[in-house]
Formats: sequence, C-alpha cells, structure tokens
Amino acid sequence: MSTPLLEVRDLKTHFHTKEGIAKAVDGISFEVYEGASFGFVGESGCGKTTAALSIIKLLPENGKIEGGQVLFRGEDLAAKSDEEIRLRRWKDISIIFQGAMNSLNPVMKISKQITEAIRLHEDISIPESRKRVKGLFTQVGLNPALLDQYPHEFSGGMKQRVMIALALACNPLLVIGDEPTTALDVMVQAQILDLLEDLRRSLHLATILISHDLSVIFDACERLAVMYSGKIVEMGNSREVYTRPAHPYTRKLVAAFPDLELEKQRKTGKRTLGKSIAGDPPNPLGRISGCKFHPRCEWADKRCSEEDPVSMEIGADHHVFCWKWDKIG
Amino acid sequence: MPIDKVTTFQRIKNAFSVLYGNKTGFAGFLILCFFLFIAVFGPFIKPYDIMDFGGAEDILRPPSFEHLLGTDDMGRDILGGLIAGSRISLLVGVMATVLSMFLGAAIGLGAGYFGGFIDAVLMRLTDIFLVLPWLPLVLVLAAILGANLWNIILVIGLTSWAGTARVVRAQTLSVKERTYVERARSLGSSNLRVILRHILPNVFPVIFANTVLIAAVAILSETTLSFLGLGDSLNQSWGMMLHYAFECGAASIGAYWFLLPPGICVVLVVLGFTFLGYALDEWINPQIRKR
Amino acid sequence: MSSRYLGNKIAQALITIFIVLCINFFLFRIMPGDPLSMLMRNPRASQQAIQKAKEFYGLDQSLPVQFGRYLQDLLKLDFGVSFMFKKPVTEVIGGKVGPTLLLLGVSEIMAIVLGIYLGIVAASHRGKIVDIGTISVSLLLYSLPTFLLGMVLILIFSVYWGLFPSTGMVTAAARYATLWRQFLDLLSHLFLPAITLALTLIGEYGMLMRSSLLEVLSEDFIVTARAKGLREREVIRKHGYPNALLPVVTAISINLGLTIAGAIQVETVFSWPGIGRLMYDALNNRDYPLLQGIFLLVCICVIVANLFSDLLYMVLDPRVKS
Repeated sequence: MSTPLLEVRDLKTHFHTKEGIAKAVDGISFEVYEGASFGFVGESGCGKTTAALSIIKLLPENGKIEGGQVLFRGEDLAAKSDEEIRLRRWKDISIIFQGAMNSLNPVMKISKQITEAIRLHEDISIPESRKRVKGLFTQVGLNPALLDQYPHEFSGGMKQRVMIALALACNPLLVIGDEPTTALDVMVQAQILDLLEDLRRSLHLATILISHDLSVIFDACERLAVMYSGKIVEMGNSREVYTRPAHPYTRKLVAAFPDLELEKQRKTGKRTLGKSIAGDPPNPLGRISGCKFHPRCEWADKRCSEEDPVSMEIGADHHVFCWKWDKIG
Repeated sequence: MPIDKVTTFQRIKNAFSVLYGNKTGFAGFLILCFFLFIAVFGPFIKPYDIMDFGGAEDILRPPSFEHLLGTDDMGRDILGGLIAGSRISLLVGVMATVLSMFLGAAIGLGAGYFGGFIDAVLMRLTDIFLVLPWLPLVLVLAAILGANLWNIILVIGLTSWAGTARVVRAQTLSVKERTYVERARSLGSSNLRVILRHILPNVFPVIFANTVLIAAVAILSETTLSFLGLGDSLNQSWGMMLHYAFECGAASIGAYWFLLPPGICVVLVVLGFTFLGYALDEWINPQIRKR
Repeated sequence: MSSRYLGNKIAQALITIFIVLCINFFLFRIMPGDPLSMLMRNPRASQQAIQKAKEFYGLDQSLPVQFGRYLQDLLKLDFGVSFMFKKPVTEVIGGKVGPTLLLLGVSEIMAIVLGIYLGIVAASHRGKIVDIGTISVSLLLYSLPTFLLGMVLILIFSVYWGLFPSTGMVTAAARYATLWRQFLDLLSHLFLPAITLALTLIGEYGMLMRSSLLEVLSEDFIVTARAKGLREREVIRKHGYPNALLPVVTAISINLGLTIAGAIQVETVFSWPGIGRLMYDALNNRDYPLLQGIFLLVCICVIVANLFSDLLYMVLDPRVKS
C-alpha cells in the first residue's frame, strides 16, 4: 500500500453546454494504491463517473479537463496528447462498463470484440489471441464454448462477465468499474462483486469502482470517496468512514441504510430500500458558494455558505470537507 | 409518398429543428399567409383574365412588361394562371388533409381505445395501406373515379391517413391508461363520450402537428396527379399548369417561364407547410428533439 | 433463423397480396363505369377485344364465380388484352420490364453510394456548414415534385447546354458503327432520367444514414470501443457503420414503393420506354386491363420487396434470429 499507482491532483473537468458551463468535477484529489480497491459513491450526476473517465480522457465532445494532474506511475496523463492517451487505454487502464446496458456491439461476435482489443495493443496472431480469450472466459466463469456468440444471447450477469473478461484482456494495472453491478439482481450482483474481488487479489489489480449504491462500495472497496456536486466531501478507509461518518451528507447516506445487511440481502435476495435524503439534488449548472451541500444541510451556518470547506484529517486515513463536522452530535 | 415520406419527415425534422429552431417555423407561417392571401383575394387583384386567350402572337411569349411572367401555349397570362391556381391547389391540399386527418384520427382512436379484435383489424388495414405503393394506387383510383376536383380530394384523403392512424393509436394507448380515463369509464360514461371528452383533447395536439405535415404531402400529391393527366381541367391548379407545360414540351423548347413559376409556387407551399409542421411538432413534442 | 418469424412474415405478405387481388377485382367491377361498358364506349376497342373481355370478366356470372375465374386467370398469367396495343397485357408489360429495371438499378446504385456517403459526411460534421447544406438540399429535394426536377434538368442539360438527349432510350433510327457506340448512346439517354430519380432518393438515404449514424454513435458500445484505444476512424468504421447501415439497407427495399412513384414520373417526363411510361399511357388512354395488370405487378413487387427487407434484416442483425 505504499506507492500510489494513481495520484489525482486538483482535477477539474467541465462540460460546455448551451445553457452554460457545468463543473462536473470541480477540483478533486485522491490516490489509488497498487493492487488496492478504491470506490466512488454519490447520487447520479455528482461527477463520479466523469472523475473516473477523466483519468483516460474518455469524455464526450463537450467535456474538457480544465486543470489538475492525473499522475499514473508518476506520469501526468492529463498533459498527454489524445494520441498518446489512446495507446495507453486498455493497455494500462481498462473499464468495465454496465454490461446489462448496450456496452457491447450487438452485431459483432464477442470473441471478435475481445481479440480486437488484444490485437490493437499487442502484436499477436488471431489464433493466439483467441486462445487468450478462452482463458479469460474460464477466468471469469464463462463457458469458452460460448466464445462466438453474440451479446444478445447472454443474460445480464453473463454480459457483465464478458465485460470483465474484456477489461482484463490486455493485463491492465488499473481497472475502473463504472456501475458494474447496476441493473443486475442482488444475487448476480454479489457474484460479480466476489468475482472482481478474487480477480483483483489474484492478478494484483488496482480497481476503482463507481456506484450510487453505498452498500456496494462499502462492501467491495478498501478505500472510498463520497462525492457531492463535483466535489469529494469525505474520503478514507471504508470501515472508518462507515463506522464514523463525519460529513452530514455521508451521515445521511449511511443512515439511509440503517444496517449494511449485505449478507442478509444476499441470502434473502431482497434489497432494503434506503430512505431518501431531503432536498433536491443540486443543479449541475448552478453556482453554489461555499460548501455545495449547505442548502440541504440542517447544520449549515453563514460560514458554510461563504467559504469552501478545506480537507481536515480526522483519523487515520479519514478526511472530511466540512466546517461543522465536529459540532454535529 | 405519404407513407414512406412521413418517416423521412421525422428524420429531417429532428435534424432541422435543432439546427434552426423556430425561425423556420415562422418563415413557413409567413409563406403560407402570403399564398393564403393570394388565394383569397386573387380574384380582386388579378391583373389578367385567365380566360383571355389572346391572339396567335400571344402564344408562349417570354416575360415582358405586358405579361410579367410570360404567356402559356394558349396565350394565357402565366401570372393570372398562378393566382387562379393557388385557390385550387390550396383547396385540394386543405380538403384532402381534413379528410385524411379525420380518417386517421377515427381509425387510430378506435384501434387504441377499443383494443382487441377491432385494434387487430384496423391496424392490419393500416399496415396494408402503408405497404401498398402509393402512387399506383392513387392513379388507379383516380382513373376509375374520374378526374374532377372532388374525386382528387377523395382519393388523396383516402390514401394518406395510415401514418396519422399509427401515431394517434400510440398516443391513445398512453392516454387511456391515465387514471381519470379509467375513472370516467368505470363511472359508466359511454365510449363515445370518453373518447370525445377525455381522450381526443389529449391526442389532438399530435393530430394537429401531423395534419400540417400531411398538408404538404397532399399538395405534392395533387401536383403529381394533375401532372400525370388526372387533374380537373375545369379547375386549373398549379399541377395542371405543369401538365400543360409538359404536354406542349415547354422544357424542350426552353420555355422556362411556363415551367418554373408554378413549380416554384408548389415548392414554396410544400416547404411552408413542412417548416410549420416541424415547428409545431417540436413545440408539441419537445422530448423528441434529440438529434 | 427462426422459422416462426419467417413463416409469420410470409403469411403476412400472402394476406396482403390476397387483399390486393380483392381490391383489384372489386375496383374494376364495382366502381362506376364497369370495364365492359367502358370498353364498348372505347372506339378503339375491337369486336374481339369486347368478346374476350366478356369472357374474361364473366359478367353474367355471380360475384363469387367471377372472383374464382379471376383468380384462375391470374394463375395462368392471363390479365386480358390491352385496348391500346390489342395484345395480351402480359406481353405488353413483359416488353417494358427491361428498361425500367435498368433505370431503377442504375439510379438505386448511384443513390445508395452517394446517399450513404453524404449521410456519413453530414453526421461527422454535425451542425457544421456541410451538415446544414446536406439537410437543406434534402429538404429541397423532398419538396420538389420528381417530374418538375426532371423538367428542370432537361431545361439545363438538354436545352441550354445541349449535353444530353431528353427523350427515349435510343436515338431514333440511328445506326451504330460499333457496339461501343450503341452503348454510349444508351448511356447518354440514361443519364438524365437516372440522375433525376437518384437525386430524389439521395436525400432520403442521406438523411436516413445521417440520423442512423448519429444514433449509433451515441450508444454505449461506441464508448467501449473508444476506451479500448481504437482510433476514432476505426471506432466509426468497425463499430459505427455496421450498426448504422442496418436500417439503411432494409429501408432501400422498403422504399421500392416510393422509388416506383418516382419512376412513373421520371419515365413520363423523359419518355423512357418502361413500365412507368406505360402506366401513364394506359391512364391517358383509359386502357383498364393494362392499368390493372401494371397495378397488380407493382403491388406484388412492393410486397415482395418488403418481405425481402424483413429477411435481409434477419440475416444482417443477429438479434432478430432468436
């Protein structure tokens, strides 16, 4: 856990829309260590996906990295040209997209979609690459005989396994999982998370998981960051953040899941639905001064609405961005 | 044309509405106002009598001060023909559209509201009308019924409702699920009453936007029918002018003034309806403006 | 391939064909002016033609018997005798199929190639001047009646510039030194009609390809392809085109009805000796047996083309098979 594989410093990613500039990621910093798991959690639209996709500059046309550094093994990826980044994609950093969605090309055989990635980055023959795909299929628990099927012939869980196999195709150092278990039922969700965990340990992979589901991140990641409106509001060791949530937003998130009954959920196959948090999610184009959460925060005072909160270390590997954290009961 | 082109309508519309916004809709509105004015007040402002055939020296004269847009192969003034033709073209377009809208709305509402067997039969019928090659069908119908103004209106109206029926049915299905409709039905309101009071008002905007687009198709249809010799020779539309222009070989002898004015009028009116239709459609279904 | 899907589609097509046969039967019988009285009024109709028509229509029989005989005759490909040509309708139509196929084939190929290309260019320069230009031209072509476009092209290319002939398929009474000369003559006659028909289709296919490609490029699997490290060009070529072309390819055969509408006008304007011009002549001479025969032929072609496009989709899109 000593050397950070990835160090992100004050990253800013903005979207230029007709209505104005949306600061999707507004100055965030975090580290991911070699072979370790890191998680982003937050409501949809809080910038967690944009934060992760900015690492390999996989942004929509109107999205642009406006500032900050993305240090991958000491190299600043944010400063590299698109062409340089393109060569690094998948080789160093790969992504597991939501397999249940349309993340696989519907008219291309699955084998082809994986060998395409391998042969793009490595100079190997087709039979060679197919052999690797067979191995990957076995690794993720799929029958290698299904290699030449089309995506629609697979169930949601199987497609998610294909996405994992695809992500591992070029032996990356870092794998980003963008909502990898969303839209799967709870049983399959647990299987996929277990599979990811096994692979991470056996392959010594670093992973970044992104989810709106707090229980998934607590369960699957050693460290996590809670995001709200483009900012990290709390970050640190998962157990630590779970047992002693400091930011009012995190507290409400945790309170919304009174008990992390993951084990129980797995057994019963049911998901306890969390209480929702009062107030409206922030408008991405809005300009909120001070702490972004203050309009929804019952403890906010004048300072919260004027000054940006700074990072405060409140425990071993536990940071919070809140002026009032120690004054809350 | 109404069949396949309505989907193209959608595509061009999606593209256009985003690029141009409602400025084009306004332009379309102005174009239509202009032609409507001409059609209504034409008889009072017409500079020449279209029944004035003139002498042999007046045949196929190019534009001059005497005849601003020249004369046709029978010595009649083209500008006068245009003004008189605007009435017929717009009349046929509007009447055929009303008929088409009425049929499409009735069939779509019926299929969507009653569902089951009625739906199956009506939609099968709609599909058949969508599949049949439109122009040959219209030509055969018009040829059998005989070429006069009302038959042309009837034929165009009878063959262009299928697209509207589809759209209306889909909208009806979604409106039917709403609670107040359920309640009205359970309270024992008659079907007709529920359709007219509760469903039609919600479906009407969709019908209306579609209607304006159908009007463009109807004008094009009338022009094509007349050109192919199925027009009403007593009520001369722009299409009939083009028919006569073709018959006397206006293109081959370079008589552009006989060909272009009615052609440009048709194109402008079709564009006008199309622009207006896009704007209305965008206004009514803002969620569609994706790409 | 799922045989149930296939069976369903074929059954639908057969039902539609049957309904077309019914329409054809009743239209020409029930509507004002039954064929026999029209034939009698037609001064050009010979005594044999009237006799033949009487036998063909069997107007003294009851409707179901007439319908049965009508179907029987159709199966024997007996459509009656053309008033104009005094020859069996089948024979008259048969002689006109070749030129129409030539015209349709050449224009379709031009329209497909150029339309798809234009759609790609427009989509990849979305919102730029090229895109707006393409959309505007498509809209103009849409609003322009096909026959008018044809006449304008004659005005420009034949009359003002004298580049191409404006009527027919061959120069009348010409004798050619070589086969090559003859071919060039055909080509120069084909040019204007083919361009006219192609232009009306290009806008159609271009807009379809444009919207289809834009839709595909917003799909998640395109992001996956980018993430893999493919060049943008390869992303579009390998993952964009195969998906975007699916609806375009099938639309081309569904579009046949529209293409035929264009062909009728183009053949009329350019006096191209095909089915479309034949229909125009049949209309203006009130040659009902011929009109009926052409209508039936065209309807069946369009229905078969629709069936074909369903089958094509099944072959091209792996998702339909299961």
